[in-house]
Amino acid sequence: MIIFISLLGFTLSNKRENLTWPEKMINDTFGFAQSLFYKPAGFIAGLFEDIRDLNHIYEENEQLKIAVSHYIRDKANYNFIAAENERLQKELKFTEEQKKLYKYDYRIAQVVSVNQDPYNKNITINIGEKNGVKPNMAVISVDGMVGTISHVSPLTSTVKLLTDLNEKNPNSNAIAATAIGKENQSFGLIESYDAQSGTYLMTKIDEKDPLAKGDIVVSSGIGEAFPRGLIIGTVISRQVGDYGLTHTATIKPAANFDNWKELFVVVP
Amino acid sequence: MNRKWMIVVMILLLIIEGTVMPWIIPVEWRMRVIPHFVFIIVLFYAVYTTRYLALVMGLIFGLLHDVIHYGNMIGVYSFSMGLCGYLIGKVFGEKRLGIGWMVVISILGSWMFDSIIYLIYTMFKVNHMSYDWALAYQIIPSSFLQLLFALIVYVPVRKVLDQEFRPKLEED
Repeated sequence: MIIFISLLGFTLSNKRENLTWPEKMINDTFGFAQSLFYKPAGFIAGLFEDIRDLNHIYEENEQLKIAVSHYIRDKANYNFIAAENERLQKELKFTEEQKKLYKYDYRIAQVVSVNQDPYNKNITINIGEKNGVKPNMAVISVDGMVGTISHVSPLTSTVKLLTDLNEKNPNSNAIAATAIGKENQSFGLIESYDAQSGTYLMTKIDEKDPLAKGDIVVSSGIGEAFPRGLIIGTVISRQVGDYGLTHTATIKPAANFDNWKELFVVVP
Repeated sequence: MNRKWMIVVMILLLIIEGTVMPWIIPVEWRMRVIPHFVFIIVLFYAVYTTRYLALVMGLIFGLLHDVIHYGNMIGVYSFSMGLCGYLIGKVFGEKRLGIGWMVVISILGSWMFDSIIYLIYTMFKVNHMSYDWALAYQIIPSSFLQLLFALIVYVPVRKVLDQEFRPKLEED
Protein backbone atom coordinates (compact mmCIF):
# COMPACT_ATOMS: atom_id res chain seq x y z
CA MET A 1 0.00 0.00 0.00
CA ILE A 2 2.72 2.44 1.05
CA ILE A 3 4.83 1.43 -1.93
CA PHE A 4 1.92 2.07 -4.26
CA ILE A 5 1.05 5.47 -2.88
CA SER A 6 4.67 6.60 -3.12
CA LEU A 7 4.89 5.20 -6.66
CA LEU A 8 1.71 7.03 -7.67
CA GLY A 9 2.85 10.27 -6.07
CA PHE A 10 6.32 10.04 -7.54
CA THR A 11 5.15 9.39 -11.09
CA LEU A 12 2.42 12.05 -10.90
CA SER A 13 4.94 14.87 -10.96
CA ASN A 14 4.93 16.96 -14.10
CA LYS A 15 8.67 17.48 -13.90
CA ARG A 16 9.32 13.82 -14.57
CA GLU A 17 9.77 13.98 -18.32
CA ASN A 18 12.59 11.52 -18.82
CA LEU A 19 11.73 7.86 -18.65
CA THR A 20 14.02 5.25 -17.15
CA TRP A 21 15.44 2.59 -19.47
CA PRO A 22 13.08 -0.28 -18.51
CA GLU A 23 10.12 1.96 -19.32
CA LYS A 24 11.66 2.96 -22.62
CA MET A 25 12.37 -0.63 -23.52
CA ILE A 26 8.82 -1.79 -22.74
CA ASN A 27 7.36 1.16 -24.62
CA ASP A 28 9.42 0.49 -27.72
CA THR A 29 8.85 -3.26 -27.80
CA PHE A 30 5.14 -2.88 -27.31
CA GLY A 31 5.05 0.04 -29.72
CA PHE A 32 6.48 -2.20 -32.41
CA ALA A 33 4.08 -5.06 -31.64
CA GLN A 34 1.13 -2.70 -31.51
CA SER A 35 1.98 -1.11 -34.83
CA LEU A 36 1.66 -4.57 -36.42
CA PHE A 37 -1.95 -4.69 -35.20
CA TYR A 38 -3.15 -1.12 -35.43
CA LYS A 39 -2.67 -0.51 -39.12
CA PRO A 40 -4.38 -3.64 -40.50
CA ALA A 41 -7.29 -3.11 -38.10
CA GLY A 42 -7.59 0.49 -39.23
CA PHE A 43 -7.43 -0.59 -42.86
CA ILE A 44 -10.25 -3.11 -42.51
CA ALA A 45 -12.39 -0.70 -40.49
CA GLY A 46 -11.61 1.97 -43.09
CA LEU A 47 -12.95 -0.25 -45.90
CA PHE A 48 -16.35 -0.47 -44.25
CA GLU A 49 -16.36 3.23 -43.54
CA ASP A 50 -15.50 4.01 -47.15
CA ILE A 51 -18.52 2.09 -48.37
CA ARG A 52 -20.70 3.94 -45.88
CA ASP A 53 -19.31 7.30 -46.96
CA LEU A 54 -19.69 6.74 -50.70
CA ASN A 55 -22.86 8.86 -50.79
CA HIS A 56 -21.21 11.89 -49.28
CA ILE A 57 -18.29 11.95 -51.67
CA TYR A 58 -20.04 13.91 -54.41
CA GLU A 59 -21.09 16.61 -51.95
CA GLU A 60 -17.64 16.72 -50.41
CA ASN A 61 -16.02 17.04 -53.82
CA GLU A 62 -18.16 20.08 -54.57
CA GLN A 63 -17.11 21.72 -51.30
CA LEU A 64 -13.46 20.93 -51.89
CA LYS A 65 -13.58 22.58 -55.31
CA ILE A 66 -14.84 25.77 -53.71
CA ALA A 67 -12.15 25.54 -51.04
CA VAL A 68 -9.43 25.12 -53.69
CA SER A 69 -10.56 28.22 -55.55
CA HIS A 70 -10.35 30.15 -52.28
CA TYR A 71 -6.88 28.74 -51.73
CA ILE A 72 -5.59 29.90 -55.09
CA ARG A 73 -6.80 33.43 -54.41
CA ASP A 74 -5.25 33.43 -50.93
CA LYS A 75 -1.99 31.98 -52.22
CA ALA A 76 -1.45 34.94 -54.54
CA ASN A 77 -2.14 37.26 -51.64
CA TYR A 78 0.16 35.30 -49.35
CA ASN A 79 3.09 35.42 -51.76
CA PHE A 80 2.90 39.20 -51.88
CA ILE A 81 2.76 39.51 -48.11
CA ALA A 82 5.53 36.94 -47.52
CA ALA A 83 7.83 38.78 -49.96
CA GLU A 84 7.10 42.10 -48.32
CA ASN A 85 7.61 40.63 -44.85
CA GLU A 86 11.02 39.31 -45.85
CA ARG A 87 12.01 42.69 -47.26
CA LEU A 88 10.93 44.46 -44.07
CA GLN A 89 12.77 41.93 -41.89
CA LYS A 90 15.91 42.59 -43.86
CA GLU A 91 15.51 46.34 -43.53
CA LEU A 92 14.94 46.06 -39.79
CA LYS A 93 18.04 43.82 -39.45
CA PHE A 94 16.35 40.85 -37.81
CA THR A 95 18.78 38.41 -36.21
CA GLU A 96 18.89 34.82 -37.50
CA GLU A 97 17.20 33.62 -34.34
CA GLN A 98 14.25 35.96 -34.73
CA LYS A 99 13.80 34.89 -38.34
CA LYS A 100 13.71 31.24 -37.41
CA LEU A 101 11.23 31.77 -34.57
CA TYR A 102 8.12 30.90 -36.55
CA LYS A 103 9.57 28.36 -38.96
CA TYR A 104 8.20 25.00 -37.91
CA ASP A 105 9.00 21.55 -39.13
CA TYR A 106 6.24 18.95 -39.34
CA ARG A 107 7.14 15.30 -38.68
CA ILE A 108 4.61 12.76 -39.83
CA ALA A 109 3.79 10.00 -37.34
CA GLN A 110 1.62 6.89 -37.34
CA VAL A 111 -0.56 6.07 -34.37
CA VAL A 112 0.26 2.68 -32.88
CA SER A 113 -2.20 2.45 -29.98
CA VAL A 114 -4.93 4.30 -28.13
CA ASN A 115 -5.68 4.29 -24.42
CA GLN A 116 -9.39 4.76 -23.85
CA ASP A 117 -9.27 5.26 -20.10
CA PRO A 118 -11.44 8.39 -19.56
CA TYR A 119 -9.18 9.83 -16.86
CA ASN A 120 -6.01 9.25 -18.76
CA LYS A 121 -6.59 9.64 -22.48
CA ASN A 122 -3.46 9.25 -24.51
CA ILE A 123 -2.18 7.74 -27.71
CA THR A 124 1.17 6.31 -28.74
CA ILE A 125 2.88 7.32 -31.98
CA ASN A 126 5.72 5.63 -33.81
CA ILE A 127 8.38 8.35 -33.76
CA GLY A 128 10.53 9.20 -30.77
CA GLU A 129 13.79 10.62 -29.50
CA LYS A 130 15.71 9.43 -32.57
CA ASN A 131 13.46 11.56 -34.80
CA GLY A 132 14.00 14.65 -32.71
CA VAL A 133 10.77 14.52 -30.71
CA LYS A 134 10.91 16.16 -27.28
CA PRO A 135 8.36 16.45 -24.45
CA ASN A 136 5.81 19.30 -24.71
CA MET A 137 5.89 19.55 -28.49
CA ALA A 138 2.49 20.13 -30.08
CA VAL A 139 0.78 17.36 -32.05
CA ILE A 140 -1.76 18.11 -34.77
CA SER A 141 -3.99 16.13 -37.10
CA VAL A 142 -5.19 17.30 -40.51
CA ASP A 143 -8.12 19.09 -38.83
CA GLY A 144 -6.46 20.78 -35.89
CA MET A 145 -4.49 20.48 -32.70
CA VAL A 146 -4.95 17.23 -30.79
CA GLY A 147 -2.43 17.28 -27.94
CA THR A 148 1.12 17.51 -26.69
CA ILE A 149 3.95 15.02 -26.31
CA SER A 150 4.12 13.89 -22.69
CA HIS A 151 6.78 11.16 -22.67
CA VAL A 152 9.42 10.13 -25.17
CA SER A 153 11.18 6.79 -25.74
CA PRO A 154 13.81 6.23 -28.43
CA LEU A 155 11.33 4.90 -31.02
CA THR A 156 7.88 5.81 -29.71
CA SER A 157 6.29 8.65 -27.80
CA THR A 158 3.10 9.25 -25.85
CA VAL A 159 0.70 12.04 -26.77
CA LYS A 160 -1.47 13.58 -24.08
CA LEU A 161 -4.72 14.65 -25.67
CA LEU A 162 -6.24 18.10 -25.26
CA THR A 163 -9.34 16.37 -23.88
CA ASP A 164 -7.26 15.90 -20.74
CA LEU A 165 -7.06 19.68 -20.20
CA ASN A 166 -8.29 20.67 -16.78
CA GLU A 167 -7.56 23.83 -14.83
CA LYS A 168 -7.50 21.93 -11.54
CA ASN A 169 -5.14 19.19 -12.70
CA PRO A 170 -1.55 19.88 -11.62
CA ASN A 171 -0.29 18.28 -14.83
CA SER A 172 -2.11 20.33 -17.46
CA ASN A 173 -1.01 23.62 -19.00
CA ALA A 174 -3.38 26.18 -20.47
CA ILE A 175 -2.91 27.21 -24.11
CA ALA A 176 -2.72 30.89 -25.07
CA ALA A 177 -5.16 31.40 -27.93
CA THR A 178 -6.49 34.03 -30.29
CA ALA A 179 -8.94 34.20 -33.19
CA ILE A 180 -8.18 34.17 -36.91
CA GLY A 181 -8.44 37.68 -38.35
CA LYS A 182 -8.32 39.25 -34.88
CA GLU A 183 -4.81 38.15 -33.93
CA ASN A 184 -3.78 41.47 -32.45
CA GLN A 185 -6.93 42.23 -30.47
CA SER A 186 -8.16 38.90 -29.21
CA PHE A 187 -6.65 36.85 -26.39
CA GLY A 188 -7.73 34.08 -24.05
CA LEU A 189 -6.56 30.89 -22.38
CA ILE A 190 -7.90 27.45 -23.29
CA GLU A 191 -8.00 25.95 -19.84
CA SER A 192 -10.25 22.95 -19.65
CA TYR A 193 -12.18 20.36 -21.60
CA ASP A 194 -15.68 19.34 -20.61
CA ALA A 195 -16.27 15.68 -21.40
CA GLN A 196 -20.02 16.02 -20.81
CA SER A 197 -20.56 18.51 -23.63
CA GLY A 198 -17.39 17.79 -25.61
CA THR A 199 -16.17 21.40 -25.67
CA TYR A 200 -13.21 23.48 -24.48
CA LEU A 201 -13.60 26.42 -22.16
CA MET A 202 -11.63 29.53 -23.09
CA THR A 203 -11.18 31.91 -20.15
CA LYS A 204 -9.65 35.32 -19.31
CA ILE A 205 -11.14 37.02 -22.36
CA ASP A 206 -11.24 40.78 -22.01
CA GLU A 207 -14.64 42.51 -21.93
CA LYS A 208 -13.76 44.62 -24.98
CA ASP A 209 -12.40 41.65 -26.89
CA PRO A 210 -13.97 41.38 -30.39
CA LEU A 211 -14.16 37.58 -30.19
CA ALA A 212 -17.60 36.43 -31.37
CA LYS A 213 -19.57 33.30 -32.17
CA GLY A 214 -18.26 31.46 -35.24
CA ASP A 215 -14.67 32.68 -34.96
CA ILE A 216 -11.91 30.13 -35.52
CA VAL A 217 -9.62 29.92 -32.51
CA VAL A 218 -5.89 29.30 -33.06
CA SER A 219 -2.93 29.08 -30.70
CA SER A 220 -1.25 32.48 -30.37
CA GLY A 221 2.34 31.42 -29.71
CA ILE A 222 2.62 33.83 -26.79
CA GLY A 223 4.77 32.24 -24.11
CA GLU A 224 6.38 30.05 -26.77
CA ALA A 225 5.21 26.81 -25.17
CA PHE A 226 3.00 26.12 -28.17
CA PRO A 227 3.74 27.09 -31.78
CA ARG A 228 1.47 29.79 -33.17
CA GLY A 229 -1.28 29.34 -35.71
CA LEU A 230 -2.42 25.81 -34.82
CA ILE A 231 -6.18 25.53 -35.26
CA ILE A 232 -7.97 24.61 -32.02
CA GLY A 233 -11.69 25.03 -32.72
CA THR A 234 -14.69 27.26 -33.37
CA VAL A 235 -16.44 29.51 -30.87
CA ILE A 236 -20.01 28.39 -30.21
CA SER A 237 -20.93 30.80 -27.44
CA ARG A 238 -19.53 33.51 -25.23
CA GLN A 239 -20.57 34.28 -21.66
CA VAL A 240 -19.61 36.49 -18.73
CA GLY A 241 -17.17 34.59 -16.53
CA ASP A 242 -17.58 33.41 -12.93
CA TYR A 243 -16.35 36.62 -11.32
CA GLY A 244 -17.92 39.00 -13.83
CA LEU A 245 -14.58 40.63 -14.67
CA THR A 246 -13.64 38.62 -17.73
CA HIS A 247 -15.57 36.64 -20.30
CA THR A 248 -15.41 32.95 -21.15
CA ALA A 249 -16.14 31.23 -24.45
CA THR A 250 -17.20 27.71 -25.27
CA ILE A 251 -15.22 26.20 -28.11
CA LYS A 252 -15.99 23.22 -30.28
CA PRO A 253 -12.79 21.25 -31.05
CA ALA A 254 -11.67 21.24 -34.69
CA ALA A 255 -9.95 17.86 -34.46
CA ASN A 256 -12.14 14.83 -33.95
CA PHE A 257 -10.92 12.49 -31.26
CA ASP A 258 -12.39 9.35 -32.76
CA ASN A 259 -10.35 7.97 -35.62
CA TRP A 260 -6.61 8.12 -35.41
CA LYS A 261 -4.37 7.50 -38.40
CA GLU A 262 -1.63 9.97 -39.21
CA LEU A 263 -0.61 12.80 -36.93
CA PHE A 264 2.02 15.52 -37.25
CA VAL A 265 4.48 16.55 -34.58
CA VAL A 266 5.37 20.25 -34.77
CA VAL A 267 9.12 20.62 -34.27
CA PRO A 268 10.18 24.23 -33.70
CA MET B 1 2.81 -25.58 -21.12
CA ASN B 2 -0.69 -24.15 -21.15
CA ARG B 3 0.31 -21.74 -18.45
CA LYS B 4 2.92 -20.13 -20.67
CA TRP B 5 0.41 -19.85 -23.49
CA MET B 6 -2.00 -18.05 -21.17
CA ILE B 7 0.63 -15.36 -20.60
CA VAL B 8 1.17 -14.98 -24.35
CA VAL B 9 -2.60 -14.71 -24.82
CA MET B 10 -2.82 -12.06 -22.12
CA ILE B 11 -0.07 -9.99 -23.74
CA LEU B 12 -1.93 -10.30 -27.05
CA LEU B 13 -5.13 -9.14 -25.35
CA LEU B 14 -3.28 -6.18 -23.89
CA ILE B 15 -2.15 -5.21 -27.39
CA ILE B 16 -5.63 -5.77 -28.86
CA GLU B 17 -7.18 -3.50 -26.21
CA GLY B 18 -5.17 -0.56 -27.48
CA THR B 19 -5.11 -1.26 -31.20
CA VAL B 20 -7.98 -3.32 -32.59
CA MET B 21 -10.73 -2.42 -30.12
CA PRO B 22 -10.75 1.33 -30.87
CA TRP B 23 -11.67 0.41 -34.45
CA ILE B 24 -14.33 -2.14 -33.56
CA ILE B 25 -16.27 -0.07 -31.02
CA PRO B 26 -18.70 2.32 -32.78
CA VAL B 27 -17.69 5.99 -32.80
CA GLU B 28 -20.49 7.14 -30.49
CA TRP B 29 -19.46 4.73 -27.75
CA ARG B 30 -15.71 5.09 -28.01
CA MET B 31 -15.29 7.23 -24.91
CA ARG B 32 -17.84 5.24 -22.95
CA VAL B 33 -17.07 1.58 -23.54
CA ILE B 34 -13.57 0.75 -22.42
CA PRO B 35 -12.16 -2.75 -22.90
CA HIS B 36 -10.41 -4.36 -19.91
CA PHE B 37 -9.96 -7.85 -21.31
CA VAL B 38 -6.79 -8.60 -19.38
CA PHE B 39 -8.65 -7.81 -16.19
CA ILE B 40 -11.33 -10.39 -17.05
CA ILE B 41 -8.64 -13.05 -17.45
CA VAL B 42 -7.30 -12.01 -14.03
CA LEU B 43 -10.80 -12.56 -12.65
CA PHE B 44 -10.83 -16.05 -14.16
CA TYR B 45 -7.51 -16.70 -12.43
CA ALA B 46 -9.03 -15.48 -9.17
CA VAL B 47 -12.07 -17.72 -9.39
CA TYR B 48 -10.56 -20.90 -10.87
CA THR B 49 -7.02 -20.89 -9.41
CA THR B 50 -5.71 -19.25 -6.26
CA ARG B 51 -6.11 -15.64 -5.19
CA TYR B 52 -2.34 -15.24 -4.83
CA LEU B 53 -1.77 -16.07 -8.47
CA ALA B 54 -4.52 -13.58 -9.42
CA LEU B 55 -2.83 -10.93 -7.27
CA VAL B 56 0.53 -11.45 -8.98
CA MET B 57 -1.02 -11.55 -12.47
CA GLY B 58 -2.99 -8.37 -11.76
CA LEU B 59 0.06 -6.54 -10.45
CA ILE B 60 2.27 -7.51 -13.39
CA PHE B 61 -0.19 -6.92 -16.22
CA GLY B 62 -1.55 -3.77 -14.60
CA LEU B 63 1.98 -2.42 -14.38
CA LEU B 64 2.58 -3.27 -18.05
CA HIS B 65 -0.57 -1.39 -19.00
CA ASP B 66 0.50 1.57 -16.85
CA VAL B 67 3.94 1.78 -18.43
CA ILE B 68 2.70 1.45 -22.02
CA HIS B 69 -0.01 4.09 -21.57
CA TYR B 70 1.87 6.32 -19.15
CA GLY B 71 -0.12 9.53 -18.92
CA ASN B 72 -0.63 10.92 -15.47
CA MET B 73 0.90 8.32 -13.21
CA ILE B 74 2.15 4.75 -13.02
CA GLY B 75 0.58 2.20 -10.72
CA VAL B 76 -3.16 2.89 -10.98
CA TYR B 77 -4.04 -0.20 -13.00
CA SER B 78 -1.46 -2.30 -11.23
CA PHE B 79 -2.90 -1.49 -7.83
CA SER B 80 -6.56 -1.87 -8.77
CA MET B 81 -6.10 -5.05 -10.83
CA GLY B 82 -4.11 -6.70 -8.07
CA LEU B 83 -6.53 -5.66 -5.35
CA CYS B 84 -9.65 -6.69 -7.31
CA GLY B 85 -8.09 -10.03 -8.26
CA TYR B 86 -7.21 -10.73 -4.65
CA LEU B 87 -10.58 -9.68 -3.20
CA ILE B 88 -12.62 -11.59 -5.79
CA GLY B 89 -10.38 -14.61 -5.19
CA LYS B 90 -10.91 -14.29 -1.45
CA VAL B 91 -14.71 -14.25 -1.77
CA PHE B 92 -15.40 -16.51 -4.74
CA GLY B 93 -12.19 -18.51 -5.12
CA GLU B 94 -11.79 -22.31 -5.01
CA LYS B 95 -15.51 -23.03 -5.10
CA ARG B 96 -15.83 -24.29 -8.69
CA LEU B 97 -18.54 -21.83 -9.55
CA GLY B 98 -20.44 -22.12 -12.84
CA ILE B 99 -21.07 -19.71 -15.69
CA GLY B 100 -23.98 -18.01 -13.93
CA TRP B 101 -21.72 -16.93 -11.12
CA MET B 102 -19.10 -15.81 -13.61
CA VAL B 103 -21.66 -13.37 -15.10
CA VAL B 104 -22.21 -11.85 -11.65
CA ILE B 105 -18.48 -11.83 -10.90
CA SER B 106 -17.49 -10.13 -14.13
CA ILE B 107 -20.05 -7.33 -13.67
CA LEU B 108 -19.19 -6.93 -9.99
CA GLY B 109 -15.46 -7.10 -10.75
CA SER B 110 -15.49 -4.51 -13.52
CA TRP B 111 -17.63 -2.18 -11.42
CA MET B 112 -15.13 -2.54 -8.58
CA PHE B 113 -12.14 -2.09 -10.90
CA ASP B 114 -13.48 1.07 -12.54
CA SER B 115 -14.56 2.50 -9.19
CA ILE B 116 -11.11 2.01 -7.68
CA ILE B 117 -9.54 3.70 -10.70
CA TYR B 118 -12.05 6.54 -10.33
CA LEU B 119 -11.22 6.85 -6.63
CA ILE B 120 -7.46 6.96 -7.19
CA TYR B 121 -7.71 9.62 -9.89
CA THR B 122 -10.08 11.68 -7.74
CA MET B 123 -7.79 11.32 -4.75
CA PHE B 124 -4.84 12.68 -6.73
CA LYS B 125 -6.98 15.56 -8.11
CA VAL B 126 -6.64 14.44 -11.70
CA ASN B 127 -10.36 13.80 -12.13
CA HIS B 128 -13.14 16.19 -11.14
CA MET B 129 -16.25 14.53 -12.48
CA SER B 130 -18.89 13.30 -10.05
CA TYR B 131 -19.25 9.60 -9.36
CA ASP B 132 -22.87 9.51 -10.60
CA TRP B 133 -21.76 10.78 -13.95
CA ALA B 134 -18.81 8.37 -14.21
CA LEU B 135 -21.11 5.49 -13.29
CA ALA B 136 -23.69 6.26 -15.95
CA TYR B 137 -21.27 7.49 -18.60
CA GLN B 138 -18.59 4.87 -18.49
CA ILE B 139 -18.61 2.29 -15.71
CA ILE B 140 -21.94 0.61 -16.49
CA PRO B 141 -21.56 0.58 -20.32
CA SER B 142 -18.06 -0.88 -20.12
CA SER B 143 -19.07 -3.56 -17.66
CA PHE B 144 -21.37 -4.96 -20.34
CA LEU B 145 -18.49 -5.23 -22.81
CA GLN B 146 -16.47 -6.99 -20.12
CA LEU B 147 -19.39 -9.39 -19.53
CA LEU B 148 -19.66 -10.13 -23.24
CA PHE B 149 -15.95 -10.90 -23.40
CA ALA B 150 -16.15 -13.09 -20.29
CA LEU B 151 -18.95 -15.15 -21.86
CA ILE B 152 -17.03 -15.55 -25.13
CA VAL B 153 -13.84 -16.79 -23.50
CA TYR B 154 -15.48 -18.71 -20.64
CA VAL B 155 -15.25 -22.20 -22.14
CA PRO B 156 -11.65 -22.16 -23.44
CA VAL B 157 -10.18 -20.28 -20.49
CA ARG B 158 -11.90 -22.47 -17.92
CA LYS B 159 -10.71 -25.59 -19.73
CA VAL B 160 -7.11 -24.42 -19.69
CA LEU B 161 -7.18 -23.29 -16.07
CA ASP B 162 -8.92 -26.47 -14.89
CA GLN B 163 -6.38 -28.66 -16.68
CA GLU B 164 -3.50 -26.79 -15.14
CA PHE B 165 -4.71 -26.22 -11.63
CA ARG B 166 -7.45 -28.73 -10.78
CA PRO B 167 -4.98 -31.53 -9.86
CA LYS B 168 -3.06 -29.19 -7.60
CA LEU B 169 -6.14 -27.91 -5.84
CA GLU B 170 -7.45 -31.42 -5.26
CA GLU B 171 -4.17 -32.50 -3.68
CA ASP B 172 -4.37 -29.74 -1.07
